Amino acid sequence: MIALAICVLLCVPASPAADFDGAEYRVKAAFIYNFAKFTRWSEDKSRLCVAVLDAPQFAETLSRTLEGKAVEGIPIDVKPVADPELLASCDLAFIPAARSSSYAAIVELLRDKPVFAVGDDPEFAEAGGLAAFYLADERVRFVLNRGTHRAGGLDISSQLLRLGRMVDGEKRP
Amino acid sequence: MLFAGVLLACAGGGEVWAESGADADLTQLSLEELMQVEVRSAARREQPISEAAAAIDVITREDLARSGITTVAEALRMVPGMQVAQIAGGRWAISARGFPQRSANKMLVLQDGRSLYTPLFGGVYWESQDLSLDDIERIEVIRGPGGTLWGANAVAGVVNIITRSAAQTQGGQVDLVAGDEQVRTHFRYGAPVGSRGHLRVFAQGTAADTQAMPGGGQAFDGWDQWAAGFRADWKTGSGNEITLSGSASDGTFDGLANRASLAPPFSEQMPFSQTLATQHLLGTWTREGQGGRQDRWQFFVDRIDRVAFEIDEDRFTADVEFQQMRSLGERHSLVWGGGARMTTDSLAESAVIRIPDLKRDDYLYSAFVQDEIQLSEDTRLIAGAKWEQNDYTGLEFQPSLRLTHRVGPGSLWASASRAIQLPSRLVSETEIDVAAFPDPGGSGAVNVISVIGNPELKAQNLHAYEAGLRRCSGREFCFDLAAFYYEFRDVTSTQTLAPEVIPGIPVRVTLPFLLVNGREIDAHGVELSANWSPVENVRVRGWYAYLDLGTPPVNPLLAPRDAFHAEHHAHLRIQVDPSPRWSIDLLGYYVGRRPYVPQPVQSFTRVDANVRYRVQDSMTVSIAVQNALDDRHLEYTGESFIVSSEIERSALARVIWAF
Repeated sequence: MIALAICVLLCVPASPAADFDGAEYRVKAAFIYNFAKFTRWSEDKSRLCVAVLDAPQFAETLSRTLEGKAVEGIPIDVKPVADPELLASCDLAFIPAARSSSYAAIVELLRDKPVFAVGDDPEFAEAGGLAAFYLADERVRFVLNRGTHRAGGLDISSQLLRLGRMVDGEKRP
Repeated sequence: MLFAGVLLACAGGGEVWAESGADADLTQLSLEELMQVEVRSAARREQPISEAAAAIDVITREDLARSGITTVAEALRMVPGMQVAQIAGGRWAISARGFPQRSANKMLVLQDGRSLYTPLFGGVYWESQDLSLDDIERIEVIRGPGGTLWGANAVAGVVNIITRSAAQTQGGQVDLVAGDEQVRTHFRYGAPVGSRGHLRVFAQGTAADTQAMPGGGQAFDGWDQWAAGFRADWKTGSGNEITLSGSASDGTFDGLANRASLAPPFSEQMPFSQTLATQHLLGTWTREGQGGRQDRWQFFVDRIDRVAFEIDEDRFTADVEFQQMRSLGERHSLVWGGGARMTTDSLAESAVIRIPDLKRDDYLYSAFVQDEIQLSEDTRLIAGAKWEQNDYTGLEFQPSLRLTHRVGPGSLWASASRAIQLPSRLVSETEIDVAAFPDPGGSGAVNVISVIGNPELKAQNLHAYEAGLRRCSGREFCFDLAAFYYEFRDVTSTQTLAPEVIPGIPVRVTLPFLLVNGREIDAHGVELSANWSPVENVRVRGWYAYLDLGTPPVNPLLAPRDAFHAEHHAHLRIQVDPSPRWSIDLLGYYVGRRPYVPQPVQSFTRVDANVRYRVQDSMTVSIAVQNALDDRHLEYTGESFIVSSEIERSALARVIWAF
């Protein structure tokens, strides 16, 4: 029977498709809106943009959430991208858990860039990404990387720093 | 079958989401509020209790924590319509809507989806269910048939004990209870495992003092038990959730038993010591998919080893179940699944029970499907059926049809369902000597009444028709009314066989009563419960239940034990919070007379009280008085072997310290 228990543990598929338009991701979209709200970029912006890597369905959910919304009068665009190189062209970025094998490369691409990068899994922040979502008690929470949030020239409000859990870690390639 | 998350919502943070709905603008919420939104309940299709199409009630963690109660069995007195009677120290008779006995075999009791009843007699060893109430998230109780989702033996109702996740019990906690009737220690420690997992381990010990004999004197029914266990949970960002839990316990439960004997005075009252050891391991894997789809796998293995004066039971059970929830189009929500269970036992006979086959293996296979159809914005129809193949009665079919309609701030519901109760190992195979008396003719022979098990017994079945109404006025007052009409068919009864004379000194004349499916019972009843909160820090909750199970046939030798119920039950609970640090609870429980028990039990009222003070965030202390109104009282009689005790007044002090 112990064997059966071990099977249950090992038989979890690596990364099944996430339900990008379900309740969980609508809440995550609202979190991203708040991340934009509580962050200041060093140069003046007339528009903000969120790059969503390889998750067109979440890009849609996020667009619906941000439709007609603005942060201090600045509207936010959503840009679905397939190439991690394009993440740095936006002010915020969402990296799905399905891209966990390329976290290190993505962290390297965004190093010292003014991009608020959010992973969908805490490992992204542990790998040196700025922020990441996780679930606790069926609720969405987030972690921030202690080292990364100081680099990149972003001014992140103390309210965000207070509510997020801090992690260390930067597995440089 | 798998647990009641299908039907129920949990209170608390989930409401934010429920109220905001799918199209709500979540950007209007503050970050703190967003962090409280429960994101899984919508996908699991949990519903507010106010819209469920069944008689449902939930005991919350807060209700448990502030009540001063220390056992699940006692906590069930809070549930509307629940019939709880303590027979003796550590032993309870618990059921809903009739049929309360120690072997209350119509109630399905689950812990995190794992069945706790033994197929030996179809009931629960409540004495060994000594889970720390602080590790329980909530207890969900459904009165009435739950056979479509949960399977056989969910005739009177379903009790599902849901434990807290490891993530909710992080850090250390010491819980000490000391009183004149019980001493408890519970230690718990929780820690993260990697970045996505949590673990808790616990160890506990309980010692309970003896209750009193009717008329005074010790009842020799003290008990003690230790238990240890763990629960681990892992969540991945992509919707997989794995839980593994296990426990082991070992207890000694003393008591007095009546045993038929061939020598005067023909009934021996003898002290006995029952030992009961249990182990279990339970795993579940839940996976959220696209569009609200959820797959859930569950397996458990369970072993109990009980040694007692009347029968020994060593049982191993292995069970695997699968369930899938998914939407079909806009209007249909489908739940389907299946399971297989193997149980193997090894029994030992005694002077009063004879068993032809001491070992038996049983296999149970089941499949079910339920569709919830949104007929209009306010009306839902839930149609389901379950098929179950078992080794006692073959294939059994349990369908149900439920309708719920939302009306303003409340709802109306109605249902028709069929539920079955399988014969237990005891009633299908064994011969039990329940009483002996000298031959009234003066021949010197001794007559022994024996109940003879019958392998040809069919399943007892129930056609149940239920309806209910729930309504709230404002936030202050809510009530819930449920009514039912039951047609029990093929109910077990006895048929007298020819006496059998066994030569010897003295001559034994066995008067055999064969168990047959010979009775029909038409029953009806109502349950009314209400909550009232006149001001914010005062809550009053109460319920009243009426039950009419008809008049049982009169049998001077063997009274039908399914008629040992009381017709009136009531409960009142007052919760007052004089300040955020203080809470005061008063619980009253009334049970009317049990008219058909051979040795009548008078009606009684018991009152429990608890005062709790939160010294600091990490420490609470409380003082409780249980059964405050009288020195001692009798709650139940009529068990075949166990001598009932009178339950004494008791007091206890409790300290919970978290670190």
